[in-house]
This record gives sequence, structure tokens and C-alpha cells, in this order.
Amino acid sequence: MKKIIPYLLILAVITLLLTNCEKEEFNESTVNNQQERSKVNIKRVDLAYLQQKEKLNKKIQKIVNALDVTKKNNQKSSITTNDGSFTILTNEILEVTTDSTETYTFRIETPTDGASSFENFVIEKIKDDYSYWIYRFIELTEDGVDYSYSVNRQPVDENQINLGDFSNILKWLYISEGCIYYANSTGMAYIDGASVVCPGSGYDDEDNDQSGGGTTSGGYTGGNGETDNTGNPPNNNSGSGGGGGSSSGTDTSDPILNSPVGVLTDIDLEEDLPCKTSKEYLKKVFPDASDEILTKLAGILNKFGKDFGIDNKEKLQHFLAQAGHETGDFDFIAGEESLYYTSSTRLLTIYGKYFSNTDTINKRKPDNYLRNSSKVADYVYCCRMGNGDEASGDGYKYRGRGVFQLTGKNNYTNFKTFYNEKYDPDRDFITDPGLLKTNDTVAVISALWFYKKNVLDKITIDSITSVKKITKKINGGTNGLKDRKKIFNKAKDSINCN
Amino acid sequence: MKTNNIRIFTLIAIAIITSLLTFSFTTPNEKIIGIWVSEKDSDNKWEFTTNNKCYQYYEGEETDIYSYNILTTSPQCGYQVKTGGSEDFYLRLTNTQGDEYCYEILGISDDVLSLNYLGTGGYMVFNKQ
Repeated sequence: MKKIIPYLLILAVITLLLTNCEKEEFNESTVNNQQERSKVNIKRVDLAYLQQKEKLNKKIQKIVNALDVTKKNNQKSSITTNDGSFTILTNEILEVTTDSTETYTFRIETPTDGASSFENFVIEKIKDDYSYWIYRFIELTEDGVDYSYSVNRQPVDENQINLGDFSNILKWLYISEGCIYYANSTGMAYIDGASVVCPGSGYDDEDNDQSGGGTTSGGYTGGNGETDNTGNPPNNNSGSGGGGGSSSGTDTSDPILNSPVGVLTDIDLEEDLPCKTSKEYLKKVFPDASDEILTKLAGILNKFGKDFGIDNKEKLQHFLAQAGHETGDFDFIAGEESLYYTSSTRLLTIYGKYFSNTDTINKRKPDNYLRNSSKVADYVYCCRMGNGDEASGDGYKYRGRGVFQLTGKNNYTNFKTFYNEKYDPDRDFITDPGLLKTNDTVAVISALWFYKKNVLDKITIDSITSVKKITKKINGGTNGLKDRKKIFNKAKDSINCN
Repeated sequence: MKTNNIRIFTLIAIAIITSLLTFSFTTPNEKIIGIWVSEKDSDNKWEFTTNNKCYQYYEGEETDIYSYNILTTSPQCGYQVKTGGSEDFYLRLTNTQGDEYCYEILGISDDVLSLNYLGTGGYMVFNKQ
């Protein structure tokens, strides 16, 4: 009789699971990869669905040796480990299938490790082999701001929970407008042509409401060792983030992540931003810019744009038109002013009040300033825009940098004050002004700050605001207006975030 | 003979001084009159007239009309600027909508006008049409 009791308990558990789980509507979307080699199907399922699958049900039954149901209700059915170390929520499950793989992602209620931002429990089936994993997502910080995630995974034994051996960081995640990007190598906070998927797929607001999961977002992460899946985003993306569009890239070299895996979290990966964009949209505006730059730009704009009042499409379109022009269609993000002159005539042309070959009493001979950027900058920028005298070196130190070429100690100081209050009190652009050139995030934020100060705070931007009006605020004239208009019109056709 | 030499020398000196004075003391207000074409974007033209109007054109079409002044005081458009130098001149454009744009004149000659939009770095060079 005693031998039968465990089996009866298991049976009871399964029965409970079967009877208490909500029936949820399935919302399916299909992803076709670019090469049409494999399809990735994403489905939001419930536990009963899993248990209807005979083989999977056996596996679930097997794993209850380690996992047991200890609590349940309509809102939060769950499985808790026998040792109480963690609880797997079963009220929402993401099924991601390809021709040769299946994964089922569950959210872990409370991370098993304090360092995790959130964790998922994943059942993975490759061919006929099942494996069980805990995925740990750890938020990273770059420049004092939350920026991306790393993900580790740890195998879970079928018969016992083993939490002793988390593997090394496998991948870096970058999350932008709810899309999950895997970087190809560690140490990068942005994507470099890797898998791109959007969690909006297979999810809509109605689903989230049914799940009772609040701001829960779902999605899948790409990755492929054996299946040739590209992890492209769905064509019929119906998620609230609207990401969508086609994106390229396959992490086919990844030997660790064997199949596309869903991501479930309470953390709002798709922040309710007033105006979001994506690499795909930006690519339509700047087709020659690299994916790396545009992915990063999209992430920065989505993360910080709202802080500067970019809350409608026109404000974003105008920003892109101006910033795009200044950066050569985002051939680069952060520029730096050059004051390297090789011609006396050129110095005389530009800085006639400072240089002369005849009036050497009031002015200086240009020949002495050729091929010497710092000497020119210290002289012509001396004693203005908050800069000290020539000897201070402020002219060169605070030369134009960033997307809009922030110049002068006053501008650097004001930007620093803003940045310190808003993001990071330790960041000092006075002692380290080069950050506006070397750090793309800072460079774009400096441009957003300049845009707000010189444009958004001074004029109202709506659907009839002209590019010329914005250009005059940024440039002081209309140089390059034709190009700025061209970019704006592309942005108008491609960026629709309202 | 000696007197003649002195007269000739004096005349030459006067001529040189007069020409130098004429050259040096042509004010920016006089020099700026005319049509200027942006070196960087030939579609961008500014015309300064003697009645202190600045007409701006882009691709041949008039885009804006401003009143302009050339000033030597600080601040300009809210920016503290250098004053007291013999060539510390600032161009201020205003229109009836309340827009105001201020520039440091980095250089002005019969052929070239170079401006710095206050609050930013860099320059805008225009060539006289």
C-alpha cells in the first residue's frame, strides 16, 4: 500500500493540474525565416495543452519527481519544487516550435538567484530528447543606465533540482522595443547581426489580460545550433510594441542555444513609450547605415527619447532628419569637430577677425596655426561660450562633439548638470568631455538634450511644422535643408509611432 | 627740389593713409550689404539691404524676411559675448513672429562673410554674389 501512495500523489497532482488550469485561447503566429528553411511557430498555451501531448505529458509527469504542485488558483496556477526553492507559474506558457525543436517557457515566480532580473523555466525538445533549463536574465548597466541583459542557463535534472552549477554567461541580450537581440560575443551591449525576435508575436493585449500577468511580456529568443532557424520576427506582429518588420540575422554559430526559446517576464520589456522606433524602421530612413548603429540608435531613442519630450512621431521624425544630416545618414553616431587646417587662406576665410597676414598687431599670422588643431581651437574659441583664456586649453577641450557637436564649456557644463541629475551623478563631462565622442549613448543623449533646449522648448512641433523651421533652430541657417527635408520625408513615410 | 620732394612724399603719405583708412574703416554695416551665397549649400542665399532687412532664399524662393542689426554689446540672444575688440561684431536677426537669431561675425570682407551661430560651435561661410 505504501508503494502505491507516491503514485497516487502524482496522479492527484496531474488531476489537479488538469482541472484547475484555465482554458486559454491560443494565439499563434508563424515566423518564416529568410531562407525559408524552417518555420518558427509561437503559441501561447496552457498546461492542459501540454498534458494533451502524450510524450510531453510523460515528461511532465517525470519531472514532478522534482517539481510538485503546492498552490493553485485561477490567477496563478503554479508548480513549486519539492524543496520549495522556486515556483514555476503555469498560467502562461509560451510554445515555440520549429521543424525539429520544441520549447515551452514558463515564468519562475521569484528568481532563484538574487542577481537575476527575472528567470524562466524552459522545457526543450530536440528531436526526441527533452531537457529542462532555468534561464536567468540579468540586467546590465552601461553608463549608469540599465541597458541590456545577459542570460545564463542551468540544466535542471529530471529527478532532482540541482541549483549548484550555473553555467557561464552564454549570451548578451539587448532588448529594444520589446524585441530580443542576442549579441554574438560577450562584452557587447548591443547586437551585432545576431538573432532578432519580437515578443509582441503571438501576444496581444487581450492575451495579457487573460493571463492576469499584468505587464508580462512574452517572446522568444533566437539561437540555433542544429535547426537553421533564423529567429526572424513574425510578419504579422500584433504586439503592442509594434516592432515588426523584417529583420535579419541568425546566430547559426551558436553551439549552446539549440533552439528558439520563449521569454516571459513581469518586467515590462515593451515599455509603454510614447514614441518607439526600431532598427527596421530606421533602416528605411537610413538604408546605408549599419545594422549595428541603427540597432543601437533605436535602443537609445526608445530608452531616452521620452525624457526629452519626444512623444509624437513628428518630434522623432524631425530629430532624425536633423541628426541624420549631421551624421551623414548615421554613417557614424558621435562626431568630433575638426580644427585641423593646412591652408592659411582657409583660416583667413573662416576666422578673418582672428587671423591676418598684414595686421599682426591685432591679429595673428595663420601660418603659425597650420596643422595644429589645439592651437587653433584654444585661440578661436578662447574666452567665449564659457571657455577660459587660451592657456586654459578650454577651446580644444570643449570643441564640438556628439551628434550635434556640442561646443564650449557652458554647454558641456549645462549638459553635465542635466545628466547628473537625471541619470548618473558621477558622470563628469567637464573632466572627461571626450565621452561625447567615445560613448554613443552619451552622444545621442547630448543631441536629445540640445534638441529639447533649442527646438522643443522653443517651438511647438506638430504635423505642419516645417523642416526649415527646425533647421534654423539647430543650424542657425538653412544649410543642407534639401537633405534634411529628404530624410524627413523618408522618416515621415517610415516612422509612425503615434 | 627739396621742397618738391617733401610735397611729393606728403602727397604719397596722404594717399596711402587715406586708402588705408578707407579700407579699414569700412564698417561691417556697409560691407554686409549685398547677396551672399552659402559656401556649403549654394541653394542658401542671404541678402542684406540698406534698410536693415535680411531676405533669405532657398532654391531661389524667398523663405524668410528679418530685420537685422550689427551690434557690439553683450549679451546677444541671452549669450554673453566678447566686447571691446576692434572686430567684435554681432549680427542679430529678428522678425515679426518674435524669432531671434544671433551670430558672431567671425570675418567680413568684400568677398567673404563668416558667421558663428551663437550657442554652437562651427561656422557658416558665405561668398558675395
